Amino acid sequence: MEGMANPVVDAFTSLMAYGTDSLDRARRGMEVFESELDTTIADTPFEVVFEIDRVKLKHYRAQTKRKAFQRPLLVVYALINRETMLDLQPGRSVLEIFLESGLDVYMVDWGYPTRKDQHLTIDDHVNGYMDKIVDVVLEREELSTLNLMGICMGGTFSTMYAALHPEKVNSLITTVTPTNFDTDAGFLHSWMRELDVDKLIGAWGNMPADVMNLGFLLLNPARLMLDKYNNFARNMGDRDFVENFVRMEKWIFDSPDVPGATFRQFITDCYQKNLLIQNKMVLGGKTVDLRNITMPLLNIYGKKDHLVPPEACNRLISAVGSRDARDLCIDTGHIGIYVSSRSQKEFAPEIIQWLADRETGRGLSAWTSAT
Amino acid sequence: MTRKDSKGMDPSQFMDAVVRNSTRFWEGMAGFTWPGQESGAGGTGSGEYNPWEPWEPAMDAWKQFQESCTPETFAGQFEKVREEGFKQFEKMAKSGWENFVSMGDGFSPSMGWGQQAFGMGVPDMFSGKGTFKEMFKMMSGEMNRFISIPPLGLSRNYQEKVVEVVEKGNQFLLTLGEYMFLMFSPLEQSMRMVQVTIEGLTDEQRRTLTPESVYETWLKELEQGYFTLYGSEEYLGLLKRLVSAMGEFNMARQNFISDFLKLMGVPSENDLDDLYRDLYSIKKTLSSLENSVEALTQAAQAQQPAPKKAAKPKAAPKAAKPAPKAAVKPKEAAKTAKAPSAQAKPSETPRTATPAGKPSAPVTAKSPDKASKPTKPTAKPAGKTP
Repeated sequence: MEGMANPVVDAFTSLMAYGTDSLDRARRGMEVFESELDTTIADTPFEVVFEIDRVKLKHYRAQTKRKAFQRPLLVVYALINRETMLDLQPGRSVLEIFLESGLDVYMVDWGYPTRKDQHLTIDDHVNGYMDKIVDVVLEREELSTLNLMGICMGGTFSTMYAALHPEKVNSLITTVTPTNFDTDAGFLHSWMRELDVDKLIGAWGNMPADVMNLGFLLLNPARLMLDKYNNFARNMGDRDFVENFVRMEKWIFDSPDVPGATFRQFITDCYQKNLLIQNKMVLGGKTVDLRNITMPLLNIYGKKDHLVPPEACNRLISAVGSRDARDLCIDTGHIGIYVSSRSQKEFAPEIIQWLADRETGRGLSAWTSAT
Repeated sequence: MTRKDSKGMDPSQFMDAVVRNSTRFWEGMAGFTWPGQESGAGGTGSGEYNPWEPWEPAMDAWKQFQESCTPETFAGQFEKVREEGFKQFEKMAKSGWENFVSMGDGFSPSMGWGQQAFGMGVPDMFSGKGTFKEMFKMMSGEMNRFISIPPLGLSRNYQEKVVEVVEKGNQFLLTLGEYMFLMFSPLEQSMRMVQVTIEGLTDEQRRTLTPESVYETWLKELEQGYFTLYGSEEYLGLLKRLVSAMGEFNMARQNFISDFLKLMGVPSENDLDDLYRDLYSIKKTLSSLENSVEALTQAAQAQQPAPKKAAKPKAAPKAAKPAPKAAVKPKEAAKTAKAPSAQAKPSETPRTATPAGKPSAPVTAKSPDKASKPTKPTAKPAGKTP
């Protein structure tokens, strides 16, 4: 009958249109794949100024005529994944913003731990490697203190370091840093509490990166294992999208193993006993007392972070001894805080401004006119 | 012994005959000479060469055995073996069948068999867990009978380790199966929910459906399903069991491989781990000793009377007593004069420690993608383990 819709024909037409569209996307995708893709990550030049065992210290020079900041920023990344995330590509690089603002950056590259490194503890990382690296930076820059920024687990290490060596830290910036582990807000926390870490480490020596990555993917399999790749399939005709996607994949799956003893201690002392926030954590025979953190502290975390939820971060400022401590909650996730385009306008500039305020003591306007 | 004598002999007599004939055979072989050689014990004595003579005892023994194999002698024995074998087989089959039936009884209700596939509402996400309980039961009941046979003899240790690998491997695979089943539950559940949702739509609403909208609905259901699953005690318990089973299996496998490598004279990971542990402790001790020496040196320097140095403020001992204010390096001092720090730091003390590691020669790398991903340390580390 004319004018009346036939549901079968409608469904068939819709299906055909969808199929044609998919084929077209696949054809365009093949064209993109066949062309040369630029998927280089971490392209900013640096100098390796110090090496100790597997650990390297990278120095990125400020890209202004003269340094706008008196003290450099030492960035300590987590032992999970790599610090290249801060410099994914031009225009999507926290590092680039720092350097263009006249800030000299030193970055710890933890390298790729092997089975040989399985006995290294948190103490070896914090009081060993980190302390030596801080000394090297201070020696090179002829300073007695520096600005310290920690990322995720690196933030936890930086917090421990600042509490144990406050005399060497001018200011502390913690980003997506878990310090309170007694929360059910993230599945990771409840999973880690149940983990028999001794069996895991006993079996492998180190914590295998692939097992960790699988764990992270399982936190949200619907989005991270299905929708993400479905989205990729839908956009594979878009060259920029494909290049950015591959860059992220490169970073995500470039994961070093975590030294066994460090992982064991992090899980038992932090996730299972929550010792750090209670000032009960002991490193190298010394208790990590957060009240020793008297330097300025900026604690940044993501509102939508499913790995380190706000509840795991926001108790830090009330636990430290500093009077100049503040939280900054950004409406984004764990990785988005560093790589999303919106965050690029908020996260790194906020750090620059905060550092500048503490550098001059006169706020950003005075700092801007001075440089 | 004649051929007639061998008939109807009992097994012990038969064995005696075999032994006697074997002796005769080897005696004959010992006396064997090739034609043209001097005749010895194996010769006929008549000077005529008989090549079959040494074989005769063996042939006799074979004939005796053949003749003794009469139905009367062996029928009873064969019958006994057959009956016993059948009994054992019957017993095993019965036990297996009973377990299979009981497993089936456990499966049916737990799997939700016989229920409507779609439109049945939200099924219990853990409805399948009974299946794996049954499998574990069967595993411990049936498989362990074979696994738990006590290893004996020279290779006892190795047998034990093989058995352990098999047992831990089975446990791991079963737990993994259970985990995978549970992980697929939200998938199945979300599909059903989407089906139910679509069934509830009017024709008009159905016409407006697009593959994208159905996909989005399904994805949200799936995500929610996983969140529900992850928040459950059952999931956490299973995750814990899975990780333990994986660790135990890996350790058992490691031990087995370690033994195998030991036989081949190849150092195993366990051997290397011991070495790594020793290396780690040596490095720690060394580092601690270095720190002590450095501290002592500094203390000694600080105690030395330095009247001349006292006159020169610039040459003050490096390890002087901690000053109440932070020691400021020359470069920093100049800058500080221009822009005083906003934060007073009363706890600051002079930095006296020097890095033990040496700064390496500057190496400029364009991209760590290409340049700084060492799989193996290429250069000798400049520093020491902390």
